[in-house]
Amino acid sequence: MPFDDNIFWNSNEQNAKKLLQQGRKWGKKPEAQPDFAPLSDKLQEVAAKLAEQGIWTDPQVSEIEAYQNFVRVWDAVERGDNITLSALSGGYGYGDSYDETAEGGVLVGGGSRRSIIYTEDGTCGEVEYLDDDCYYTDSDFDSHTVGSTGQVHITATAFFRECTLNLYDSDSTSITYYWTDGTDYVELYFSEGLIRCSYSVDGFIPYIAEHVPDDKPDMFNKLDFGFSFTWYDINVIWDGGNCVFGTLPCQKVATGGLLAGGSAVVLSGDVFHEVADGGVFAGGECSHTIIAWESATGGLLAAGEADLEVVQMVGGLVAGGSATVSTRLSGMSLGGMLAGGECSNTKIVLETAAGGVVAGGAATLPNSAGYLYRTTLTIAAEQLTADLHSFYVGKVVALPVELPLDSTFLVTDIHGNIKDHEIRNFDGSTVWIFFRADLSASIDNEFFVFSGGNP
Amino acid sequence: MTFCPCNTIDELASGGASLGGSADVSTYVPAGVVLGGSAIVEVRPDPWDGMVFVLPLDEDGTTFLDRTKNHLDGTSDTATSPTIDAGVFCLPSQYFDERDFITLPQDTLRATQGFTVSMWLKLDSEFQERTFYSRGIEVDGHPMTFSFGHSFLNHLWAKIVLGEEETVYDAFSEPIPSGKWFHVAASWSPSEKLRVFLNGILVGSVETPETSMLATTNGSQLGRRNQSQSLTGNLQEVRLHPVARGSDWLAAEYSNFCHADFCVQGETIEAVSE
Repeated sequence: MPFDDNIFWNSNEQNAKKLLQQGRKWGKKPEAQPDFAPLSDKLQEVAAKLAEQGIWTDPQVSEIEAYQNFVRVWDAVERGDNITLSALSGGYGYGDSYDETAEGGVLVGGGSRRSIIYTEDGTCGEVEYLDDDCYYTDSDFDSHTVGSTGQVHITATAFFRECTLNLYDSDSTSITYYWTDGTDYVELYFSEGLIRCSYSVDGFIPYIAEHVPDDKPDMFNKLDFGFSFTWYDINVIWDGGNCVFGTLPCQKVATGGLLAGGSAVVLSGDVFHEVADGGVFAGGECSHTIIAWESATGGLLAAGEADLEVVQMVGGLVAGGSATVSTRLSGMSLGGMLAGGECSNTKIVLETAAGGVVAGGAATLPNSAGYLYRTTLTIAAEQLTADLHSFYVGKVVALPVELPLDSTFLVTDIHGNIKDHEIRNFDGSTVWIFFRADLSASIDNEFFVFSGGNP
Repeated sequence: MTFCPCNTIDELASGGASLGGSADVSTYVPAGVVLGGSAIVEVRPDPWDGMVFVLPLDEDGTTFLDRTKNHLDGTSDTATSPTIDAGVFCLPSQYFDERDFITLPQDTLRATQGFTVSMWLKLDSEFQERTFYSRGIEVDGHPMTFSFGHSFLNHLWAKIVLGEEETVYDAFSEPIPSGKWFHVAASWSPSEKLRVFLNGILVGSVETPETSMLATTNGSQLGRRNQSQSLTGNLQEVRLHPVARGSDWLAAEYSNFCHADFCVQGETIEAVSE
């Protein structure tokens, strides 16, 4: 079934959904040889670039099939390999799970899919093309066993007709998935129940999420939720056009950026667990809340708009556009926290921010600083006989609630200027905190101790 | 440009501090420039910046951490290590008995630099000459330059050795009772005075016209002077300030610990996001 090239470059959600629908139908290809179509001009360029980068030179390692403007690249990836796919630009990416480094972009467009099975013991190296097996010959892929300790990260697309995958979770209990390509939905049969999933992207993901068996939460950790994560990965890796996706299991390195353009609507909280060198969002808009646990070298948002929840950013947090940094902006922000645009920020950078905090635009910051409670400390002017510069105030503060012993605190003056502090003694309900401050003997000295929340 | 007061950088800013608007940078910015913007940059988060050492003495063991970045940690050996004990605020102090003492590395004070040593003290002896803190240890030709202790009659007693003539100056307080916690301090201002403070109040001084003290060439000790004058009593929160503090400061330091109304805890509210 021919694709409409324009779909790939349009930037509205409906077209993205339409694209996915087409992808499903297109999956019902005959089991004979795929119907290769001539490469488009763009893909000719892609192929040439890939050849330049050596990806295509060894047919045992990788191969490519092109269906009009759909390109599929399969790489025999081993742990530690760097995968350069930056030559793929434009188009629609059918997703892959990248547990290793992919320099130059995870998938900067194009139509690409790849399925990889990793084992958790670090040896990995096994690469399977499940989607391919399922797609072409049902009989070729009846089951696949990964081992009792294996972590399976399956990438598959909606091109299945029908396949069965036998996996084992951590306690060697067999779990059977049945993926059936129905008319307008996919059914996943768990041993504990049924999950029925629409192909619709925006319906599919929440539907899956709601049906996670309560007694098997770790199954999804261990197995990475198989099919459902496929969708997420597909849409995370996106360059151009619309991107509608849910939870983002971007768990490892993605050098070159995750979203290089277009607009993104993230339906639920997204987590970038690890490093994304080159930026998470390089452009477009993002209606989105991100929890970035680790580094995003190159910037979290290079342009556009975003709601951000960030822990650690290397290379800048917001390089342009506007951002609502809702919570958890703490830790490293090398290259600047806000390089342009506007920032409505409820947090502060607690640690390193090399390259600037606010490089342009406007920023407004409330005084909550991400903590739940603000306690006022006052040293009356009459307590002092002279102004004191850099005095070391010590105060036992009774906390509003019992806090975890790994809690952090923040001390500021009433203008929001952070005062360096030391926690001398903290038992959960009281904290003896020392901080350095200038004290006035003419006006009362007020400070805030922020607690709770651990941003 | 909206001022962004909470955007504080607490550590090194390499590659520039602010790229637009105006910037208020309190410390250096290596390899960077301030091109504008609005940013507050504070470098090196250290609440004890400006102190030579701060020793809470709240550890149970033979290592006593200096909370400043100078890392002038105290050490002792098992046989002569003081014992952790209740102190001010019911937080730990160290009880020195018999031959207990703590050795500190050589500090960074210059010979011409005024200084203050302050601490919390509870004596547990009388009619003994004892030392709380001594700077320099007279061994192998090293000089002792300063000591702070108490006399036979429990006068606070600061002693300093100044000038090329190695003139010794002493400053005393009135006797203080044993068994009670006091905030005690001694300071020296070059070419001015050696002073002794009790609970932030100046209680003794002597004029010292010299502009430099005898240079210290080795470490210091808590709880004894040279090989003797071992303290019987408690020490807590020993601080060495690189400036000569006055009563204004030391009284505030005393009140900060002892007066509940010095720093008052007000209401706690749930933080609000604008």
